[in-house]
Amino acid sequence: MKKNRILIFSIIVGAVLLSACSGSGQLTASSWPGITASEETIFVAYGPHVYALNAANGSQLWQYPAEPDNNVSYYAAPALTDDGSQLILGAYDNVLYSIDPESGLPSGWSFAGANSRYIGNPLVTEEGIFAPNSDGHLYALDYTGQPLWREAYSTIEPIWAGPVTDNGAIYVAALDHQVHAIDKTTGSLIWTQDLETAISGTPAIVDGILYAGTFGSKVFALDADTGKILWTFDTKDWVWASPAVSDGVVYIGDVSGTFFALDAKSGRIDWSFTAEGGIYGGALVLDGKVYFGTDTGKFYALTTEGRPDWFYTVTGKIYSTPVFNGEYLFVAAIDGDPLVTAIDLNGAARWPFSPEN
Amino acid sequence: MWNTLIVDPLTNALVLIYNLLGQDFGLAIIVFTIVVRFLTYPLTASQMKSTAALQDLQKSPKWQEIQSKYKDDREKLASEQMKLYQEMGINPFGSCLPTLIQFPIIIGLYQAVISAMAATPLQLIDFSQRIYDAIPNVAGLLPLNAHFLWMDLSQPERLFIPGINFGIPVLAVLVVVTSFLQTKLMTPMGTGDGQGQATARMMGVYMPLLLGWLAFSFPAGLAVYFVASNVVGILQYAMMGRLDWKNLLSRKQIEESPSVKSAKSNPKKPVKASPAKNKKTNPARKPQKARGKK
Repeated sequence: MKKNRILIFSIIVGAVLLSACSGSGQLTASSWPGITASEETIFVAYGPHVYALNAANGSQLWQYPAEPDNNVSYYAAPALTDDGSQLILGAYDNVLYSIDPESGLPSGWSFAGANSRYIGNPLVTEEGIFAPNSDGHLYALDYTGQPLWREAYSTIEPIWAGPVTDNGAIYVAALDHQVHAIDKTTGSLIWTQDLETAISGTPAIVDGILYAGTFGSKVFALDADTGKILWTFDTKDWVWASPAVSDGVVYIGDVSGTFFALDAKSGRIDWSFTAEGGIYGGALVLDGKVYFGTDTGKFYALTTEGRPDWFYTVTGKIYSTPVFNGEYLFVAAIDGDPLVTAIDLNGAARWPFSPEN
Repeated sequence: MWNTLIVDPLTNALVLIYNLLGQDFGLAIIVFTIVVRFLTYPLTASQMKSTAALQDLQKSPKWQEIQSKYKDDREKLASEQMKLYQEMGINPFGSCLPTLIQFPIIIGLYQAVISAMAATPLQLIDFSQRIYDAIPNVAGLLPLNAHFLWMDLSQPERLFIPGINFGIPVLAVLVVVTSFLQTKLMTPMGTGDGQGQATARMMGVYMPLLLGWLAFSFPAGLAVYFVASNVVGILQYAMMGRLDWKNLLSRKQIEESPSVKSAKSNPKKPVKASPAKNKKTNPARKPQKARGKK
């Protein structure tokens, strides 16, 4: 009898443990904050809310939704339409929402045509909204939420990277190891190129060259017109980060914590810097400085020659790419507090933001 | 600690098997289950032995004697039973160890499957940090192919058939059926004291339902493990010559006529105790009383 009681007890404990582990992302974050800056407002998507913050002092203007729905999380960086009238949010309930960036209230439409989560950042251009989804599709919508293409562009694996564009095409990198160039108006394929392993960081496109880092510890440069590989560079470890390109130099870090500056034309290494902690987020290049964070919470400012200028340590892990609004840098961290820190260009923290709930 | 000892080795084993078996995660889980069953075989065998020893003990005259002697003093009865266990060198908990050892594996496997299926960026980072350097070209394997037959192993399984507008949880049903079969075939009925018997019978119903519920609500990868584990378990018992198909039929007889169960349900083994004593050991009202209590 005692034996059986122990057995039943163990089964119940086991079931409870198993249930407890299944939080499906509500109790613990499943991605990192998506952050977007306009001159006066910072939009941060993290967990059950998207927050709008006053860029000058970090005070919260609104949160969407007002009351959290534990089944819906937001991680994709919100995207403002060109006219500033809509803020596009990709959510984990498979819906793309449009809200009013002033009030944080729904602006009249949402798009529920996807079958999985919106993890990658949506791209908003004059032509419309391009939203990558984990169901492997790239959805193209006009500003009223109506599909632009006869059918969404389809890959066989989730798309976690944001799409990018130059004037001709939309480029999207997916976990299917491919970069896809897609006709912006029809959604039909122009070319694909196999990069051997999955790509989760948003590629960069500058002067007709597309740059992307892969899990296979490589950085690729592709001809945006043809998809032809122009050069590759071997990093030390996996690359999650998006490349940043400025003045003919590609800046990118890998998860070993090595940060590289590569010649954009040839792929030759200019310099490298060993940071403390793995680099998952992209870099931001501004006025002769390059900024990036690591998963030990260090936020670095290096000169574009590779010399450390200053660093600022936050509590938590920095996976997000920093953004700049013309005055401050905004750094978001997870597993710590605060969620967002505004840092001036001299490395001094100006305000922190921590959500109330 | 838990991750280092349980989840990480399980994750790596799965990925290694996945890589070796043509990148099929469902097949990897099945092969993994066979390996686990093989590794825990000594435990399974000792469970069988200790169950058999317990049954023999419970049929022994000495056991019957203390049952009737202390039937009104449960504490004394329990301590006398313990004494007997010790005298005979039987560990009464030995028979539940293989069941208990399932739990860390089930929980660890659940975490390993979730980790390997990595549906979100943080899960994928977590997964990439779990993988040992010794496993070649993990980056090239990603994302792992979660499709197996009609299933997406990272999601609870449902089979959609044209014309039916809801998904059928085939695996959950299979889990219930195979768990029920395994419990029935493994546990000879009609021996032991009334309450233990009732609890065992209750377990035989609740355990498959619990596993079925887990299979219904959790990723299909876990359900594949349950089914494979049950099937391999049944095969192991069959190879040990321990399968007692008559148990499948015996349940009805027990329900209908509890008083005759000891005679009918286990005809393979001759009942040593006299019918009178046996009746005392398993009076009809005792299991009912136990059932009522629960």
